[in-house]
Amino acid sequence: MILALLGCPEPTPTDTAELPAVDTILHDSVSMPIDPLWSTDQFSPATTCAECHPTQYADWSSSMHAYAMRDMAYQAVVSLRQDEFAGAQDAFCLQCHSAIGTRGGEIYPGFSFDELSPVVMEGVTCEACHKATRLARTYNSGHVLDPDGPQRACLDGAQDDDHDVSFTSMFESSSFCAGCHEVYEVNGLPLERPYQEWQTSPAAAAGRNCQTCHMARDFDRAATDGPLRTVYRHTFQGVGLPLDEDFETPEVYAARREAVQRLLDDCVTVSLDVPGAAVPGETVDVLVSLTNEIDAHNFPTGSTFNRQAWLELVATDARGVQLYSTGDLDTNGDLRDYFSELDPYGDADLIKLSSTLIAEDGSPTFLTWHATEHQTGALPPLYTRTYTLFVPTTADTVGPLTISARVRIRGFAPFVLRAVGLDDKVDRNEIFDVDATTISVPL
Amino acid sequence: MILLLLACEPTEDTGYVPHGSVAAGISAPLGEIVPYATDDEIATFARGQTVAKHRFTRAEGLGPGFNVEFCAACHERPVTGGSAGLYRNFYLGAGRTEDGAYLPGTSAGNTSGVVREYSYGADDYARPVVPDDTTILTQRNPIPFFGVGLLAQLSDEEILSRADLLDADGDGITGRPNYDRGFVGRFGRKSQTVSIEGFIRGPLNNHVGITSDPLSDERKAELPVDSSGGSAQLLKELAPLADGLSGWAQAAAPDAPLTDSDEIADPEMSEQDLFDLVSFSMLLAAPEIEELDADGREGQTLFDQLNCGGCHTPRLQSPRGPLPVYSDLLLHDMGDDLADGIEQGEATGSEFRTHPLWGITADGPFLHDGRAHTLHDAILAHDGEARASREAYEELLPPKQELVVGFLQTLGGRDQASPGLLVPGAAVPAVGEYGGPVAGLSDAQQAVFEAGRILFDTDFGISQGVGAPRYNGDSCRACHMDPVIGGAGPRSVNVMRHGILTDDGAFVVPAVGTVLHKLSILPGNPNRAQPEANIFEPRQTPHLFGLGLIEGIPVSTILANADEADTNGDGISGKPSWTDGARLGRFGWKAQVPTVAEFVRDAMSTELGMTVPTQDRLTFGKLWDDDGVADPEAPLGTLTAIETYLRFLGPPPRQAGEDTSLGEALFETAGCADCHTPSLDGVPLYSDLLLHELLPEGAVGIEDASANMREFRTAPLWGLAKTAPYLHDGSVDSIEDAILGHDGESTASRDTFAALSADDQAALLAFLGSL
Repeated sequence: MILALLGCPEPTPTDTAELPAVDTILHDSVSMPIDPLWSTDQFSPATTCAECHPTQYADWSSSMHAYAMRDMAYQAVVSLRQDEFAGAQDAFCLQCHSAIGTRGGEIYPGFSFDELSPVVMEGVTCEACHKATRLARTYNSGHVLDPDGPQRACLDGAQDDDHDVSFTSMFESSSFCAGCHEVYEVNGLPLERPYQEWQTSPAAAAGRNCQTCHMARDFDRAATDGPLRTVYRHTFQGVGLPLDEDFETPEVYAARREAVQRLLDDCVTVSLDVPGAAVPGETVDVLVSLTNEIDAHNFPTGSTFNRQAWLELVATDARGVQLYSTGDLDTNGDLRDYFSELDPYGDADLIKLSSTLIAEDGSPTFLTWHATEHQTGALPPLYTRTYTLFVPTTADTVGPLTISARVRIRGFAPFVLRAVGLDDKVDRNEIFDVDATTISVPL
Repeated sequence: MILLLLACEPTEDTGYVPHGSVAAGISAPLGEIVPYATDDEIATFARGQTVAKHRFTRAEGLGPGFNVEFCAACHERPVTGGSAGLYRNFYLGAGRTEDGAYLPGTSAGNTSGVVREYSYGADDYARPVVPDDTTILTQRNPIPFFGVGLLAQLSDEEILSRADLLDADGDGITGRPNYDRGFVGRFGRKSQTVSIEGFIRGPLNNHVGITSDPLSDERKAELPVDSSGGSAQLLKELAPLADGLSGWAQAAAPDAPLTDSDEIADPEMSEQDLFDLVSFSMLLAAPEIEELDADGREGQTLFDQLNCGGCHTPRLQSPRGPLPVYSDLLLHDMGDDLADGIEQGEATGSEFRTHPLWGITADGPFLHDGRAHTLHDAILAHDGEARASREAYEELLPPKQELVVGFLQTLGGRDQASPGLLVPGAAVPAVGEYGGPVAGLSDAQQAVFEAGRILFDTDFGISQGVGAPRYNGDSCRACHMDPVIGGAGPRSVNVMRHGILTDDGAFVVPAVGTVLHKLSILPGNPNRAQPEANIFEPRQTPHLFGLGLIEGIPVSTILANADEADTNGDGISGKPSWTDGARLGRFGWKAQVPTVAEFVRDAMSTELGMTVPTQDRLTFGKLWDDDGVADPEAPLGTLTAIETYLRFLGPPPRQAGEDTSLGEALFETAGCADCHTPSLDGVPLYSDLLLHELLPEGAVGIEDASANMREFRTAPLWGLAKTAPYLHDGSVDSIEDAILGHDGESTASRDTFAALSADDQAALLAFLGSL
C-alpha cells in the first residue's frame, strides 16, 4: 500500500485505516495499475489542443466524452460502489471514464471527484485517445496510453511542427471504440456489447464501422493552419444528453437535443395489425411489430440497463374511453414495473426493449455489481419482433377503436435518479419518441 | 521409487515402468457383474438392477420432496450404475450459525443438505424454497458406482498407509483420511461414507423421497460384501478395534429408520428391494483397464512424471489383489476455485476425495460439479495440492497432453463412452417402433435422421455454452427420453414455470422469464425465484413422436374445429393459439410455438441455455447470453439437424393386442373426442390442437402467447401408453387419474366417465392404453 501511495501525485486520504488491503484492490496492469504508470500532468488538457484544433475542441466539448466524468448520475453511482467496496473497486468505472486518471494514480481507493486534476475531469479527453499506442483488449479500457509518444491519428500524411504525429489505422476500426464501449462487470457479466452486436451485423459485412455514423466526415481543416480535407467530426453523436444544465449553453443543448432526435427518428419502426372488425365484448388481438432499422447494432445498445426503451400502446373507443394501456407512466414518471414505487407490476404486459440486470436471488437490480444475469429485450440489427397484445372491449364499447403505439426511449429511469439523489433532474431526463403509429378498428 | 525400479523390468520405452498387475477376475465392461459372482448373486444383481431402474410413483412413496424418481436417473452413464450429464446435477446446501458452527441445509425435510427441486407436499408445493440460512451452496454431479464393492473390501490400513498429514515427504501433497462411524471413509466426493448401504439409503431418501429401514443384521450378513459385525451399538463400541475388518466397516451403516411426511407408509422400500439394490451396487465389476500400446505407455510415463499418481494412486491392495483404482481415496485440498464450502466429516470446504480414474472416460462430465466437459479441462481445473502437477501438464506441448488424456482413456470404458447415452453402434429403431422414423425415407434422409438423432442425444458442456447462466438440461434427450430418445420425460425433468400474480389478478412475467430453471452454471445459485413470484406450475415433458406430421396439418383443418364463442352451445369452445406474427401455435402445453424449427430454437435457448443464430423468418430463441461463450453457441447445422430429425421422427405406434372398439365407442359418446379429435388431416393424434379452459374457475397458472392461466392445448393422446406421468404438471401416474383431473370445459366428459360402469371404464382405459 505504501508503495502504491508513494506514486500518487494527490494528497493521501487522512483516514488510512479505512483503506482496503492492497490485495483486495481491483487492479490490472493495463488500465487499473496499483502503481501509477506515469503522472497525469504529462498529458495535455483539451484546452491546450483547442489552440490549434478549435473545431474538434468545440465538437468534443459538448459531447458525452467530455461529460464522462462530470455526469452527476455516474458520479453518484461511483459513490455507491465506493461505499460498498470501501474504495477497493473505485477504478472500475473510472478506467474508461478517465483512462488517464486510473493509469496516472489519481484514482486511489477513497478518491474524491473534487480532488481530481483538470485533465482527469475532462474524462475521455483528446489524449485519452490520441496518445493510445495500441489496444491490449477490446473491452474494459483496453487502450495502452503513452504520454511521451506522438499524437496518433488516422489522417494520412499528417504533419505538425508543434508535436510529433503518427499515423495509425487503429483509429479507423470499431475495435478501438470497443476498448471502452464493450464492458464486462468484475464478475464477467456482459454489461455493454455494441461491438459484439456490430461484428455479426450487416453493417460490418458492408465495411461500415462505428466511426461511419458516430464520427461523421466533414470537409474542413484538422488544424487552423492545415489544409482543407476530409476530417472526422468529434461530436461522437449518440442518444445521450447531459443532465447538468451547466455543462453547455442552452443553445448548444438544443442543437444536441435535435441531433439526438434526428438519430432516433425511425431507427425503430412500429406497425400494428388488427382484425378487420371487432365484436363488442370480445378481446381484440393486436399484433405489434417492432423493427430495428439500424443495420449495425441492437436497438437499444450500449448501457441498455440505464436507458429505458419501451413500447407504449393505448386503445380508446369512439367516446374516448380508455380500454387498454401499456407502457404508460406512473405519476413519478416511472414505468409501472418492478421498480415502480406507486404501482409495482401494474403494467403486466410491459414490453421493454432495454435490459434488466438481475441479482442472484432473481430480483431486478440497477446496480451492475449486484447483478449475475442480464436480460435484454433489444432488437437485433434489421430484426422484426411481433408481440400480441389483447385489448378488452365491453358490450358498451363504441366503435371505432383507436389504437396508438409508439416506441419511446430516455437516458435514465426516474427511480434511479431519485435513488441517487438527483430528484431535480427527473424533468430534464427527457423522453424521445422513436416512431409512432395509430390504427382504427371498426366495431 | 528406487525399490519400484528394481522390481520392474523396464520396457523398450525410456522411463516407462508398468503400474503393475491387476487382480484377476474383478473386471468387466461397465455395468456388468463381477466375474466372481455366484449364481444366486447373479439373480440378485438382476433384481437389484430392476430396482435401480424402477420409477417410483407417488403411490409408492415418491417425495413429497424429490429430485428424481429412480436411482438410474442419476446413475445412467454410460449404463446403469454410472454417472449422468449435467442435467442430473443437484445442489448441496449448508449454513453457519452465528457462532460459526456448520449445519447442513434442509429442503422440504431433512436431506443432509441436498436441495430438492420438486415437491408434491401440501406445505411445499412445486419448488421447495431454499431457506435463507442456507448460505453455502454448491453443485454435485452424480458419482459412478463401478467397483464400489471392491473398494468396500479395502482395509482401513491400506488407505491410511498413504496418508501424509504433515507432508512428511515434502512433495506438496498431504492426503488426509475421512472417517465415518470410526471407519475410514471411501465413498462420496469427500470420502464421507464407509458403507454402501448407507450410501444408498441416504440418497434414496434425499433425492427420491423413498424411505427405508436399515437392513437387518441377518440380511447384512448375506450381502455380497460381508457386512456382518453384530449390532450397531456393539459396532460403535468396537469400532476402534475393528480396523481392517471390512465386514465390520460395511456394517457401520446408519441404523435409524427413515420417515417422511407423505401419506405412504414408511418404509417405502421393502427390505428385499433394498437388499437387492445394495447387492447390485456391491456386485458392479471394476472397469477393465486396457493393455497399453506405445502411446499408452508414453502417456502413462508422462502421468508418472507429472506426479498425477501422487494422489491418483495406480493400485490399491485389496483382499482380491491389486485394484487399478487410480485413487488413494484420501482427502486433498484442491484450491479456492474448486472449493465448495461443504464440510463432511473431517473434510473441509476445499478438500475432496481423489476421484478414482478407473472408467473415467465414460462417466463425464468431470469434477464434483461437472464443470469440465473434457478430461483436458478437468486437469486444467486442478489446483491446491495438485497445482504443481497441473502446471507441469500445462507446460507440455499439446501432443504430449493428448498422450496423458489418451492414457486416462485406457483405464476402462472407452468402448462404452458416448457423447450422450446412445452406445456407439446401437441399433436405430425401425419404422413403426417407438423412436423410429416415418415411413418412406430415402437412404439419404435416413442418414440425416440418424445423424440428427445422435445430436439430439449429445450432452453439451458448459464450455460449449450450456447455461446462460441458467439451464434445465444439457441435451435434448435429457428431457425427451421416455420410453426412448425423442419421447416424453419423467417428473424429474419437469420444467418449472413461475409467475407473479398481482393483487388485481394480472399475470406478470418474472425478471428471468416464466421458466424457473433447475440449474445454473454459477456454482452456488439454486435459482431462487424472485420474492414476488407466487405462481409455480411444473410442466411435464411431452413426447415428440410425429411432430413433423402435426406440423403438416393445414391451418384450415385446425381452424375448422375452432368455436371460440361456443356458438354450437356444447360447452366446449376451442380457441386457436396465435403466436407472434399471427401464426398458429401447435406445439407446447399452451400451443405457444408454431413450428418445429422454432420449437428447437426455443428449447435450445430456454432449456439448454445455448444461444442460436438468427434464421430467416423464424423467431423464438435467445441470440445472446451472459456466459462468456461466443454467441451463437448452437451452430445452425446443429439446429437444422435436430429439426430435421424431429420432422422425420415417426408417430407413436398403436399397441397391438385386444379389441378396443368398445372403449373407442365410449370415447366418442363420453365426449372425449370433442376436443381429443381422433384425426386431423389423416394424422391420428387425438387432439384438435386448440386451447380449452381446463382448470376450474378461479385457478391460477401461467399465461403464454394466446393462452390464459386456465387454458391448455388439448394434449395429443397418441403415445399415451408409454409416456406417463400425465397432465401438464405431471402430477398423476395413471390414465384414470388423468381423466379425473380434467375440469373446466371437460367437466361434463369427466363426470360421464366417472359415472360409467367399472367394465366400461376399464374398456375406455384399455382403449386409451392402446394409443
